[in-house]
Amino acid sequence: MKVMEDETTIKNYFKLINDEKLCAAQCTSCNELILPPRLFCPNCNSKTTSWKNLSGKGTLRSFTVIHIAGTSYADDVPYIVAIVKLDEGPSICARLLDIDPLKPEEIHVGAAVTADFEEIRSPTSDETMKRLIFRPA
Amino acid sequence: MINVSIVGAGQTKFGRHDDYDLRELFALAAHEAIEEAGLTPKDIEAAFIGNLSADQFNRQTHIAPLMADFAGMKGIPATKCEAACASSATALRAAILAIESGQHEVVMAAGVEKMTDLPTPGVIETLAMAADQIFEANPGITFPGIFAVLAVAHMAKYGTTKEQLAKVAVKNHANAVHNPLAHYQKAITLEKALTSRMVAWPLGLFDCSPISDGAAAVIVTKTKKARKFNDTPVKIIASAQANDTMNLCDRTDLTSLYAARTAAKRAYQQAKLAPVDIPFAEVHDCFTIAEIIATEDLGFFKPGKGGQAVEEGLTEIDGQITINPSGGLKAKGHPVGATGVAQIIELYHQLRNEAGKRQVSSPNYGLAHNVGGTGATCAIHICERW
Ligand SMILES: [Zn+2]
Repeated sequence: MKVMEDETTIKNYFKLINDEKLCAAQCTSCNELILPPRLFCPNCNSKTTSWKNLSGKGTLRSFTVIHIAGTSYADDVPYIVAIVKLDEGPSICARLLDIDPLKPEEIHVGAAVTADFEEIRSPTSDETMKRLIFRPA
Repeated sequence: MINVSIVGAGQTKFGRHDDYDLRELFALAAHEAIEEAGLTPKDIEAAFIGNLSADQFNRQTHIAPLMADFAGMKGIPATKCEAACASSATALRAAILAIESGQHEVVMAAGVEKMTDLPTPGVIETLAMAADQIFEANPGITFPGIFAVLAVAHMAKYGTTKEQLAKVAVKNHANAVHNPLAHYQKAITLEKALTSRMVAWPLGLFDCSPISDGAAAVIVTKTKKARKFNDTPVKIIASAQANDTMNLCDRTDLTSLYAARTAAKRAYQQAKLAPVDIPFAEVHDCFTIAEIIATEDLGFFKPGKGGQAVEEGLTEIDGQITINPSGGLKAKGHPVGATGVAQIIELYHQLRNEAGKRQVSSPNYGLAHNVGGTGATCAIHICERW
């Protein structure tokens, strides 16, 4: 089955991330912003969704500092993972950089953060890819 | 109202089992449960077996027929139930529904997990698969990390403290001293709990349940026929399950589990009981914060008051509502797929007044709260003494 370039698949979401664009799926029937993206609107069950560019501005809903990681990220510790509520409404989980992970007392729920992108090695090939991260605003 | 009763229970010690294979742990628990019901394996008509990930931990899929065969039940319909850490509570629910439907009369509900075959980083990676792999695990969140996120949100909204979290661990370790099947039968001090190695801030090692091996099994049948098998059966009067989004991002509240609140409401309705009627509960304390949130979601304390309640000793053995007399997942151990049925076994012993030094004073009812993964599944059972 051929997937349209603008169809709100997870694969297309990560293609947009690779182009340094943070987008949510938007329901064309009820305007709901959907992130992580879905093929069907959780609000009205419509399939007619399109991409909507997000500002990348948001606030910290919660976070943690990972000190013991699984096999894949054992070399990264300690690192911060945050749940960010974007100004447009939906939330997303991503790493939070430019903050000392050993001073978590200085990180506050509700703090303003901004989306950015960093280059990482692809877990499945030798190529590099971009991933979404956040930094303090 | 549900008309199913427990007539047999068996559980291995929880902990590290280097000398028993997965199927052997299962066989030990299954045989004990079958014997207690005065039955032989040939009398069991069907089995539902909870297991999270024998595929990752032991490189074994399709475990239900293998487990049944090695427990002497070759050929019966045996089905694996997977709902992350709530796997065996959903297995019990399936067994109850099988009896209530009229298909079967004598059914086994069980759970088994052997986690220590895999080195710790592999266990952490496997458990993280119970979160959204693409949108949570890939950015780097771990399973303790998920509950750390809930802890940070609970602390920010209600002022819950690290000391209150640590108090959960101290209480549950104290209870497990009297549980010979517990992974850790050792009391710990508040200071030790507070200074343990950091795992996922603000959760330290003593905020986390251990990596355990173990199995648990119960035999259930129609309440009308239960006395045929056992002088003192224990009635199951509610079996409820609710689910939620997998991904924390899709939830409006990070300080409570919607699946737990919803399952609790359904369970109380089925049993025609209110939270105040429940004298003790086994709740899913995979992490200390999870117990505090559970006592709020189950209606024992108001939202935000769970931390204060444990600090004031209200959840101790002789407290207002005893929470985790077995030692909980924290100290009894958490062989993931076995946990839900092990909780039910604690209810069974408590309601038969045979829990020894951890016995709650003659309880009429007990509640078991089993949470899967990020809280995407919650299954709740309420039991009544015969
Ligand atoms: Zn819609």
